[in-house]
Order: sequence, then structure tokens, then C-alpha cells
Amino acid sequence: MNGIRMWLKKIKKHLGILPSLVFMLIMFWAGILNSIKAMFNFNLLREIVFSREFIVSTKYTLRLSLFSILSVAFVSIIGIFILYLLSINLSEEKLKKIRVLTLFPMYIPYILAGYMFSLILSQSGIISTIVYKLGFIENLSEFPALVNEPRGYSIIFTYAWKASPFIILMVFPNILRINKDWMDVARVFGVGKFYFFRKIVFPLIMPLYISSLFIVFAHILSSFEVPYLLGVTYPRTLSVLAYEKYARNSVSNREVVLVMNGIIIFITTLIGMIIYYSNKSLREGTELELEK
Amino acid sequence: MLGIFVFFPFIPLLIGSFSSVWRFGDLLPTKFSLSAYEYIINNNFTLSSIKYNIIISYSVALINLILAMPASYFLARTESALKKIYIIILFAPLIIPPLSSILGIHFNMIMYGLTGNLLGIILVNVIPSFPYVLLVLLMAFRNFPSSLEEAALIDGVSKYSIYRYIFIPLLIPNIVVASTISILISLSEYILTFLIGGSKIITLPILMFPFLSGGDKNIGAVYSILFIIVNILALLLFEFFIVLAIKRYSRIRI
Amino acid sequence: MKKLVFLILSLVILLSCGKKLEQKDVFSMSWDEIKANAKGQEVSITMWGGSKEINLYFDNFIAPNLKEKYGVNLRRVPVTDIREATNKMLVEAKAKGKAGSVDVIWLNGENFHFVKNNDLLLGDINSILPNINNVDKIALASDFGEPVEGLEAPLGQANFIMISNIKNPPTNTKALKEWLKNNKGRFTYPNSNDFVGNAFIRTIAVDILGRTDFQVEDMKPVWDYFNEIKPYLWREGKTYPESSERLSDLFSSGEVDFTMSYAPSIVENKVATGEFPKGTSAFVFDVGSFTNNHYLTIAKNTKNPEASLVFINYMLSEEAQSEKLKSSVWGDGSVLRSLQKVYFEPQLEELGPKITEDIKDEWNKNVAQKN
Repeated sequence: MNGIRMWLKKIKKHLGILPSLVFMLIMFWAGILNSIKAMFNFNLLREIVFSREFIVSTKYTLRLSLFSILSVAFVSIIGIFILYLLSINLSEEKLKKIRVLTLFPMYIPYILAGYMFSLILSQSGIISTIVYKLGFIENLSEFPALVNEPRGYSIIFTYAWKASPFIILMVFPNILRINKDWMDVARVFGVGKFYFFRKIVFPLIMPLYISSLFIVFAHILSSFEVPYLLGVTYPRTLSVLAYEKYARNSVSNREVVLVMNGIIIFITTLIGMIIYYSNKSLREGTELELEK
Repeated sequence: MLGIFVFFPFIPLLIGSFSSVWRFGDLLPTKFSLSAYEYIINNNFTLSSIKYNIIISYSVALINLILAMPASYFLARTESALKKIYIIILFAPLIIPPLSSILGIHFNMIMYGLTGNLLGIILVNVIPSFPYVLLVLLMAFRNFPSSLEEAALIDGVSKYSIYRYIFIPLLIPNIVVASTISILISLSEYILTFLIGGSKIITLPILMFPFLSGGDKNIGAVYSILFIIVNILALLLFEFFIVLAIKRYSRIRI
Repeated sequence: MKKLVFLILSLVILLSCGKKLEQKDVFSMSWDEIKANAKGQEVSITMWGGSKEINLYFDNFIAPNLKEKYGVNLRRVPVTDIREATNKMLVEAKAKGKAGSVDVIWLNGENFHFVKNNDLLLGDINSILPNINNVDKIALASDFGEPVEGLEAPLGQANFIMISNIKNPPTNTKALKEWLKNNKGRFTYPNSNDFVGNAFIRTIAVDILGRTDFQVEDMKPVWDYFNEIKPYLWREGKTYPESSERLSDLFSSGEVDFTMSYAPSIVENKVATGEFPKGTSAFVFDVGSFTNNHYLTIAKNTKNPEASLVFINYMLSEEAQSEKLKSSVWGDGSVLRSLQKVYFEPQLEELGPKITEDIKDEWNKNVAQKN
């Protein structure tokens, strides 16, 4: 009798999250069950992991993703700082308008963004033409190859352009709140804007910043449209490799695709766990600092 | 200066929409025409696809908000050993590559009888967008001082009223951010909508993408501009209405 | 609590009673019966959606005529890559007894091979279509080496051509190599996964090996050739365009001097819009031009087999085919004997699907990955 009551109480406690769980389980997890099963095909796993194509692709993917995420981090931090400076002086209305504008890259899907950058950065693109008109180059082949080349410059550029607004969007409401709470205190103590940003704002938004970066990173690892459009024939990123196998249209290839995706998931989870644990200690450290 | 960085890739697109010829060495295209615009305006699908897109993305945003509100509250406030598992269940779409999930989801949707209709498309679009909405609201609740709700609870206010009069109005900026992300994601969704929509429901991405990858560039450019405008308008409109609705619902004087 | 569970369960059961497929057996009906049933039905045509001209042809010419003559409503479903649709068909077929979302689909080659081998097609539709008697026999026999067996009806014809605006372009492998040495970086070809790129590789192979019945194992001299010319290619052969459309982009923006295609009409069309520079023309290698057909076929689990048949039959009519032939409309080669013209000689028949598949991997291994 008591047991049922306790059980009911427990359900009541979890009631809020129940609909979301049910929804995700029915819609998403039911769908990937087969994929998860297929991932544990160990023979296939061994075959794939030790193939030259796969190893080269993994190294390339990790390197490219790393550079991409670093550039996203860099650009977004600058963006955050600029908006932070603006937020101190400008009214909330104006800030909202500026924010909507900065989010412009987010209104554009990745495929479109990749396509636009290929138009601009290619050797026959507008920047190349401008440089040519200015007399720096004689013909289009002298313009550096930024699209469809192994270093993946246009890929990194596209990600930086498109993902930074997302990070800024995630982090920004917090900055506004921090400003509201602490700015006056800081002013009383005569703290400068930059110092305030460095010592207080940045550490406070750090966990959210890192989490958002991780989400973008996971997305970069598993998405194929941008490297497909702007990348090279060889080496290919893991996601493009998987897509190609899938598009080859034979049913047996499907399992290869699922295994490859399984490996991508594994890498992402690994990095996620690393970030989670370092984030935890970071957060605790910051909180201790703040109490001081 | 920020504006330049944000906008500059867009300009060649804009100019390119008026022409099909733009070669190296020419600062501007050599031939201009409105033929691409004509094609799109005259096309039967254009208007109906925009209509579908908006219906779908608004519904998805609302469902996301309704699901994520209590879920994020739970994750932010309640203690439970099961939390870690819940987080994995709910945030998984963020790290699982689309190819792995799409096939299985499609098959299941057929079995559930949810293909070829609007409901199916709406439900399936919730999947990729829900984790983001959940994340935004989760962060919102974490930074929300619990003293407010504790005070209310002590005063004997019901849970429902706490939501209505305290959480929702105070979280308006976060709700706006969350719905923005949700709408952006569902508006751009191509492959899921294509698979689940059967051949009945055509959205703007379905019309647009063939032109972007290997089709007529001119038309691709015009569709892209149309798409961006639809995005911006849809977002602004939704933000306007939801803020209005919340303010009325929580009886805040405007 | 129990009531809730019961409610949910019944809802799920109700939902999973999706659209059941009740299909009449069209193979036992007379053509008049089929026409009568088709009246008022809606049929969807799933096809590549990236061409304004083709879209307009179907929307503004075929659809109104179909409605007027036969009472059939045509719906065009655009896709970015027809493989999306064939994969969709595969998943839908697994749900036995449920109606599929594809009625008529436009495809050929490896995609036909895919749907045929996975048993996704309605059946021998060519035996029912009255207009099939006017169609050229070769198109009816095989599709990229895969026997048609009446499963798909030819829609049009394609020829593999080279396109350039330079005078006296090279027309065989020797001449090409010479030209490349003198014009570094001005030529490339799509990679082997692309339809057109694969055809180019095959054309070179036929030239080098001197025959058309080779296997992929015989292709070492071909790989050697491709590796030898690498340093003279665009981007020094370190990367290749993903598709012929990308290659045409490079051509129209002036980065290279050649492109290639299976659709000869694009030359006239793109010169008219200015995308291709004036003086661009099509030419064919000495060994010949691969010629193939593209087809329309019907999915097994279609809800509207009668309307699909009527539609395809109309596409085989003189009216539809001659309109399609016009360059201003589509410029696609006709499959009717009465309208056929030979555009490019000599005509090479497509090699089988196996060699095309094998080339995809082998080119990657022996050429692309060698650095």
C-alpha cells in the first residue's frame, strides 16, 4: 500500500519531464534502435577502422574540425566582447535591433552559406576580381585557392561565419543579466570595462560558452553538406565519406554507414565527457572565486 | 563594422539573383534580367510552400516550448539519480549524425501512419529542434533565482500559477531566443520534411535546394533571398505574437 | 491511470492503421478501363527539380494538356538527387501493404538498377502502353547495360559531349595530353562518382584500350594516363569538381576551358543566356559519344497506377515528344522513331552497370588518392 503511494509520488515528481521523455523515446530513439544495433558489428568495425581510407579521413576530420571550432571560438568571443561594450551604453531597444541583425547568418541554412562562400572566395569570385582590379594579381589562378582545397579554408570560414552568431545568441542573455546585477557594483569600485569583462563576465559565461562550443563542434563533426560542397576529393571528412557510401545505393553499404556514424558518435561523446568534467571543475572554481 | 562582416557574403547573392552571367574580371555581372524572379512569382508552389513552412515552424516552436518548459525546470531544480539518463535521452539528437537517425525515424513514421500529413511533419521537426530549446530554457532556469518561487510556494501559490505569473513572464527573453532557434531549424529542414511529407507537402527548402546544388544558379539565388526574407518575417511575427500572448496570459500591463 | 493507458494504446493502434493500399490489378484491365479509372486521379512525378526549363515544360505544357485530354492531375515533386526518392521508396516498401508516396519517377542507369533489384517497380508496364509501339527498339532493350524488361518507359535520350569555346579542341587522348602540357590548369573533369565524370573516364578508357568490352582489371594503362596528366590539370589534379554542374560553373566563370555534359541542348541554352561564352560548341571524341536514355517508371506501391499509366503514355505521344525536342523548351532527344535524329557520331552504347560502379572505387584508389 505504501509502496504504491511512494511510486505515485515519484511519478508526480517526474511529471514535468515525462511528456518530453515519451516524445523523444517514441519518435527518436525508436528510430535509431536499429542503427545502434548495427554499430556493434565488430567484424565490420575492425575492417573499417583499420582501412587506410578511414584513418586518413579521421585524422583529416579531427584536424579540420579543430581549426573550425577554434575559429568559431575566436570570432564569437570578439563578437561577444563587441556586443558587451555596446550593451553598456545603448538602450535595450537598440540592442535588440542590433542583435537581430547580428543573427543574420543564422537565417541561412548551411548549404546556402557554403554556396555563398564558394561564390565569393573562389578564384573566379568577387574578391578575386577586386584584387585583380587593384592590380595585385594578373589572372585568376594567382588568387589563392580557398575553395575545394585540402586546407579547408572556405569550410572554416563558413563555419566561423555561421556558428558564431549561435554562440553569441546563447551567451548573450546572461551577459545582460550579469551587467544588470554587477555593473553598478563594479562602477562603485572604479573597475574598468575591459577588466570587468575579463575577470567577471567571461568566467561567468564560460560554462555556457564552452557548452555551446561543444554543441557546434558535435554538429561540425557530423554534418556533411559544407565539406561536401567546399572540400576536396581526397581526403574527405568522415561525414562525407559516410554520405558517399550511403549514396552509392547498395543496401550492404548501409551497415558501413551506420558503423562509421557510430564511430563519429563515439568520438563526440568522448570529447563531450572531457568537456563536462573540466567544465565542472571550472564552474566550481569560478564560484569559489566569486564568493571571494 | 560588425555589419559588414555579417552581411558581405549576402551581397553577391543579391546581385547574382538578377543575372546569370558573372565572370572573373567583371566587378558586376554583364547581363541583367528579371527572368528568375518571374519564374518564382508565377510558380504555383511558391506561395503554398511558404504557407506550409510557417504553419510547420510555428507549430513546432509551440510544441517545443510546451514540452521544454517543465522539462527544463525539472532538470534545473529537481534532484534525481535518473537525471543523467534523462539528459542523454533528450539531448541525443545533437550528437547523432542525421544519416543514422533518419532512416529509422522514417520507417517508424510510416508504421505510425504519420507520413504524408502535416502532423507527421510537425512532429518530426520537433526532434532536431527540441534539444536546443531545452538547452536555452535549462540555462534560463539555472540562472533564475529560486528564492522567488520558494517565496511564492510558501505563500501557498499553486504550481500552475507560479508558471503563469512568475516563470513565463520573467523568462520572456529566453523564450524568444528559444523560439528563434526552433523556427530557424525547422524552416531549414530539408531531408526529414521531404521523406515524411510524402509528395503531398512541398516546403520552400524542397523547392530551393535542387537549384542550389547543380541547378540554375540564378533561380537558386532568388529562392535564397525569398527564403531569408521569409525567415526574418516569420521570426519577427512570432516574437511579436508570443510576447503579446504571454503578456496577456500573465496579466502584465503592457 | 488504467483509462489513460487504454486510451493511448487505442490511439496508437488507430494511428498505425495508415493508408492501406488497395490496388487494382492494372495488368488485367483494358486500356479503356484504365483511361476511365484515371479520370479525376492525381499522379505525382518525382524528378530532379533544378531546371527551370524542365519544370516549366511539365507545369505549363504537360500538366494542362493531361488534365484537358484525360482528366488527370499532375503533381510535380522536385528532388535534389533522385537517390533521395529511391531510398525513400526502399524504406516505404518495407512497410508492406501501405501506399507509397511515389507514383511515377524519372530515372535511369544505376538508379534503375537499384529499384529493379530491390523489387520496387510495378511491373512490365511497357506491355500495356499503346504508344510504346512508336518507340525506338534500342531504348526499349537495355538501360546502361541493365535489361529493361518492360519495367520502364523511355522518355528521352542523352549523349555524352565535350563542350568548349576554344578552336580545334583535342578529340583524342594523345591530343588532349599535348594540349594539357601547353595549357596548364585549364582542364579538369568531375570525379568518378558523378555521372558525367564517370562517362569521361570511360571515354578515355575506350580510346586507350581500343575496345569496349574491358573489365576494370584491365584499366591500369588508363590510371597511368590519368596520373600522368595530373600536374597539368586544374588544381594540379589534387581535387576534382563534385559534379558536372560544378564543372560548368568553373567553365562559365572562366576558370577552365572545357566542360562536359549528357545534355547537348545546354550548349545552345546557356550560350543564349550568356552563361557560356559566345562560340562555345559541343564536340565528341573520335571514339564516339556514349548514348543513353532516361526513363519513366511506376512504383510498386503507388495509389494511382491508372493515372500513372495514362501520364506515361501521354509522354510517349508525338505531341509531348516534339515539344520536348524544342531547344527553347527542353531540347531533350526524342525516343520516337519518327522524331529521332542522330546528333553525334559515332554512338557508343553504354557499358554495363558493373564497370561503371567499379570505376568509381578504382579511380578513387588509383588516381585520386595517389599523391
